[in-house]
Amino acid sequence: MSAGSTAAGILGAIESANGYVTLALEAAGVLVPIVKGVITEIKKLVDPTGTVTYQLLIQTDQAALTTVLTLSEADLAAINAELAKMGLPPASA
Amino acid sequence: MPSRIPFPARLRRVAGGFCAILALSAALSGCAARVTTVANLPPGVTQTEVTHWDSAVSDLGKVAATTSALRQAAIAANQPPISAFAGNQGVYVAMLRSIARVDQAQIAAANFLQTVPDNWSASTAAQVQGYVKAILAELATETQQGLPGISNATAKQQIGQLIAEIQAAANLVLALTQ
Repeated sequence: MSAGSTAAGILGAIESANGYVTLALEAAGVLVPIVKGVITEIKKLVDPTGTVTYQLLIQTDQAALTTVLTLSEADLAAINAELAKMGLPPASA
Repeated sequence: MPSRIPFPARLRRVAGGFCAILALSAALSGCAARVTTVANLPPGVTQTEVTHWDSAVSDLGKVAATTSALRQAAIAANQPPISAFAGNQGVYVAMLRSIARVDQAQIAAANFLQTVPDNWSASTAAQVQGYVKAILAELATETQQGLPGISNATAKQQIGQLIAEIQAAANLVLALTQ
């Protein structure tokens, strides 16, 4: 199975199972949906001895760090909105 | 509208969101620090460096997911008609600002880690652990000054548990030596 058809199969299966595919990254030539589908696919890509390629690890962790940034920035926005409702200056000021 | 939802129902809704956040946290933690061996390392990069960096990313993901749950729990607890911070709005505002500082430290740590993807040297560890220590200092303040100002026992327990979970994940980063 080529990487392209593998990616299509992965995305199709996840989409039909959960109706949820928003982000993806290319890992070892395979398109891996981030967060929701990533665990299963990473497990497939890691061999039985627990070995993963450096490139795949870096790509996956960079995506995880992007998620940290997204979560943290959303939190700050929500906190600043709450402070604004109370007539207070933002936390990031 | 949130203000019309009875307090116990609001807590149940927040608890549901909390479970979702924990599931995300578990997913993120599964992304990182799940391997025993990393193949195809670039020259000069050691297994220890990469696996420690991977572990730091994983633990930072847990910290961020749980901090988000904490923020949601605090805001939900302050909703009318019965605020868990009734009579203590100063405590509520201080807690929000403290959580914001945790978020800012998370952003700084994540931005820094993205610039050093294969490096868990002493200087990298020191810088990341510096951000984590700042997070732990905020959590200590929330525990000592924020929690006593929460009048509702359920909200206090939930928020206290979330703070403890962030502390546990943050301490894992501090335990990563070079």
